[in-house]
Amino acid sequence: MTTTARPDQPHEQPTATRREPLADESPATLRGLYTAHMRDVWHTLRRLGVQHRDLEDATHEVFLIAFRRWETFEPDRSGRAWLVGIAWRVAAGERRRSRNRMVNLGFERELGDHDAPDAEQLTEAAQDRALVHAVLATLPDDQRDVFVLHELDGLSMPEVSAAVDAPLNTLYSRLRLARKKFKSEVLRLRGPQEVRP
Amino acid sequence: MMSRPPVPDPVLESLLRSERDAPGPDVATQDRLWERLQTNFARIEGEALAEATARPAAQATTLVANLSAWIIGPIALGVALVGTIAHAPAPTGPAASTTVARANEASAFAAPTHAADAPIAASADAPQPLAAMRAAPTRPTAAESVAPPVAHPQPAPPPARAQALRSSAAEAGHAARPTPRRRRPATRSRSAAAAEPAASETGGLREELQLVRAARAALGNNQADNALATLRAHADRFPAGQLREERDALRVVALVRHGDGALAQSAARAFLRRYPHSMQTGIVTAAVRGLR
Repeated sequence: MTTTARPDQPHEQPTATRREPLADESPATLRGLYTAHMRDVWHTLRRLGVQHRDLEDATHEVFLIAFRRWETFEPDRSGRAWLVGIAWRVAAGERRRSRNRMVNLGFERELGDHDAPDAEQLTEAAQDRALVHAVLATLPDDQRDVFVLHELDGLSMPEVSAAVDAPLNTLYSRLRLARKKFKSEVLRLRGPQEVRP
Repeated sequence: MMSRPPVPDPVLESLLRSERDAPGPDVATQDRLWERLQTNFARIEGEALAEATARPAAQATTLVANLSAWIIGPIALGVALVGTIAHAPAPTGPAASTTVARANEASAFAAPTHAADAPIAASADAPQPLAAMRAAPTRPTAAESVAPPVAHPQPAPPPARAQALRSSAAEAGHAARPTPRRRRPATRSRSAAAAEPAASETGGLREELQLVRAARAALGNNQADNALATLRAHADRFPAGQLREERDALRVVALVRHGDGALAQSAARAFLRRYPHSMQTGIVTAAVRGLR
């Protein structure tokens, strides 16, 4: 029940004070974190494989856990990284349960799940996103985690290390493998000639 | 310290940029989710209060904890629901059915799989099934009554989150959508309560809740005098308040603790006559049973 160790995480002096979770909308409250990072949490869950229909429930779950665990939030650390770490755990649990429900997610299924039919689906960016999710689904979980948290969610590697409770070196190794596999899957699914620089 | 390796690959970058810029949930979704969260924050807070006050007096533990569970859970939920019912749009069909359908599986959500190495999902903090949270406030179980992080030996200082919750509820009142409130007649059968202005409904209930909480906290600390005084204050302030039933049940317990056996029995009889189907019937009956 201790906060996760955060090796290598530099900077700030612990000047901020944790406030009551719902006192106001300042960044040191859960209300403030919700305002600032709800969308980040949503995206993290989505990128880590939570199905579109479950995103709202999963996001809800993340903030409930954050409320229960408010005493572990360190205001001088990144609130976003803290929430994303919780989201990772929620997504990991959801992923395991999902595997009992569905065996294989094909490209079409992913496309339908993550980019529900709307006007945007036809846009290039939406197709890119569908492809990203399709490829993410092919990565092993441990590689997908570090790839998503670092490359897409923008956490520093030490922050990722704290979030998933894994050694930094291991994570760099996974990231390297993830990048390699990601690229090869993109080429396989899309064809090299269609890759836009 | 290792530096982040560069990612010069245009293949990756082009794709990842699209994903990084992906649109998120709309404002309505964010607002709806926050309202839903507040409802469950209130429930969690109620449970925390129940746990905190169940510990100080060993003799009082069972009774007060039970009372807390019956009373505070639904009440706290009600506070938040006052806003939610009035403002939240009807859940969409698929979302609503998904929620219900996920009731069972949600219980495993996040908690068990990382219990060994996860500081977050430890058992005492394991999230409740989401749909169950919304459907019915839960009673604290033995497993749940793990000591909360901060003890509250005196009733006066309310737990931090309780205080925060009040702020939040007030804030929710301000931030609510401009949809006109609609009162549901079926839930407001008491004439005096119905006479209260709608605008003060949430505030009134909150104040009632504070008094009932304070009374229960006093009971948890074996301060029956204080409890009775607080309950009297509630009766003066809200003679036909929404928490009258809870107040009357607490009063029976407080009278027993205070040694006013005859009064307690009389109050218990009155309670059972007035609320024959109350969820607190068992608690009231148990409180006076030892007097015979």
